[in-house]
Amino acid sequence: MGVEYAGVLWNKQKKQYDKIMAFAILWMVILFVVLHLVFQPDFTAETLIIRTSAFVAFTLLNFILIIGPLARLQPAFLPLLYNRRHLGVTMFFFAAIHGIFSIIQFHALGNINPIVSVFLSNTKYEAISEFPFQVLGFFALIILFLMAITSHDFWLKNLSPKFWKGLHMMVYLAYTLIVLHVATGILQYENNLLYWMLLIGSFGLVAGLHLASAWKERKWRKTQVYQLEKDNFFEVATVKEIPDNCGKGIWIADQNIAIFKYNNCLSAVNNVCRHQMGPLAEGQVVEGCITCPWHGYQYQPEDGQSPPPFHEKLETYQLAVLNGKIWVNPDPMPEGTYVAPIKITD
Amino acid sequence: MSEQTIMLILKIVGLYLLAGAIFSVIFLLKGLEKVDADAKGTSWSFKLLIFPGLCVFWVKFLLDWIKVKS
Amino acid sequence: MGKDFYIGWKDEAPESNKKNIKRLLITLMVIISVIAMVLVVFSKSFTTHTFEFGQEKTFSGVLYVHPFPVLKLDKGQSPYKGNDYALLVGYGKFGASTYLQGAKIPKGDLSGKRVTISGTLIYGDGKVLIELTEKEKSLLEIENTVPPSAFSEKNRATMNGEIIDPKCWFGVMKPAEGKVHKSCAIRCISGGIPPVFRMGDSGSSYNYYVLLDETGNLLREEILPYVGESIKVQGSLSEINGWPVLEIDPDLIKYQ
Repeated sequence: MGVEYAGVLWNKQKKQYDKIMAFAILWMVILFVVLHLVFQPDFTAETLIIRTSAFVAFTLLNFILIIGPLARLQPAFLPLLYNRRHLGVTMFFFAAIHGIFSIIQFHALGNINPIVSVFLSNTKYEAISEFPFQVLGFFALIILFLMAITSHDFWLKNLSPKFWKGLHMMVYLAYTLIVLHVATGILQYENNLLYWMLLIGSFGLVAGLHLASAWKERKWRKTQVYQLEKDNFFEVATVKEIPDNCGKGIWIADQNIAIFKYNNCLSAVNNVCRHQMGPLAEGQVVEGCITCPWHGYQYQPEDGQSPPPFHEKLETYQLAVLNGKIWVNPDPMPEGTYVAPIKITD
Repeated sequence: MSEQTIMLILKIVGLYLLAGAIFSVIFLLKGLEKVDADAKGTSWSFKLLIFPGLCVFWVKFLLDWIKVKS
Repeated sequence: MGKDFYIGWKDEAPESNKKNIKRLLITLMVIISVIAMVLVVFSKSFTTHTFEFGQEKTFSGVLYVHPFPVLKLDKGQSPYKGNDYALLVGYGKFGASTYLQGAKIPKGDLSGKRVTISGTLIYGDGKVLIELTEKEKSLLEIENTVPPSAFSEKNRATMNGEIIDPKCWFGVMKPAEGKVHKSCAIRCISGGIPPVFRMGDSGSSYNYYVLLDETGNLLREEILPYVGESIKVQGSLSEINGWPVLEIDPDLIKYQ
């Protein structure tokens, strides 16, 4: 990033994203409340709040987690990824309502501190079905809290992309904790088999899509065997197979490289976007810049630099073309090094 | 874990966050632009948005600020 | 330009993206709506027990303090005909005893005295409780008359069921049993609300017994590990101040 931070850099797509999100959430809340009024009219207000917020938060969390692999498997779903951050923060708000109301309802106004009560009221830590499930939810909520408060590119930059990504990968730990929280909590009371099927089904969907996208990645890497070598250049692709203004990802000598064809030229840069590690080769060259498919971050193909005022830089690579074949030198040039684009002659 | 241990941890966490909150107010007024040049002239809504995070990760920004000063 | 390419900061998304996402979102919303339906329809029904939250009233009757506080209501004040014995509980997760002892009105032993209190009704399944919402200020008036406290014959019994906290169970919370409510019940009983043994497994009507130890005192910390679980207890059965009680040795409680 290189321009001033703003609370949210609003644009038309984000506004539309948020509108749809707000509508979907409103629908879930209204539906859940109406269903209670019709089928479970003897509810208490606290229980309704606790259950509705849990339903909305857990549904959103499952959805958030399937967006990543879904977009990897089917690029048509990439717009879902673009503003996932707002979805995440909203999910945290519902999780927080659930957590805070539960702590007040079950632990406050007693003879010990409510937080202490979360840990010490039920002390059967050695049990499975009687395990103090609220502790699991408590820690999951702390993880979601840390993620929500660092949901801005300011944090990505200042905590370093590596630390930030690591922190946000903890969503998988939080998800696991929440699945166990549900399994050892409400499902020990509402023991209808249908509920178990729903919980296992949602966990299976999230895990399954992640496995499928990992498998696709692995299969792709296995195809990445390049042996024709001369002066440390490897033959990796043909000029024809890359459509105009598009890229091709190459995995060679532990380097993740994106080769782009544009303006009858070829250039190669590192395939990992500096913003959130998006796969640049799946992007396109738009208005002269390589554009990341995830959040639209841009780089100049010849030197891997973001156009001013931005200042992200990618490693660049040397290319050669011989008889319609593309050769690449997998030794990276330092970030932002200019490498003259190769003209396609034939 | 006894009640005393948990209360002690809660108090330490509370004090850490309180110190973070005090630091963050000063940092947002005086230090932010020095540590991150991109934050020059940002709006109060942006500052409010990063405030809770500063309360948690304030030690990192304190060190950065000291580094920039010296 | 190759295939459709979505860029978030541009004004319009390509048609193919819009179409696919619309289809996905509509499908998901239908699935989520069905799931919401399943979650609500198949969940256990809530009890019809009532907590008259926010509707404080004045009650008069005869107070019994030991082994747990009960107010024998004057005629016409109980929501159930034929059961005038209201168990007194405190505000939040506390028993009523400390409030009664801390009341500012001059008094000696309160037991057996005619009193007027303010409080909030909790009732369900034929039982009545009153929350002393105003804490120490709930006790309004004391008169000196001393009717005898009612004790009955004892019988040995063994039964299966669950320890609940009566304040939550008879109306304050729903659900107020089992795993989800366990921590809360532990806090309430630990705070002095009399533990009640609910006999039976399921249904809408149960038998209830206040749990005492073998010397006739209210059980508290000793039974916390068993709260909210299916257990088997044995002890002697009787009735004190209009409430069935079970005197047990907590060491003999067995998990089911």
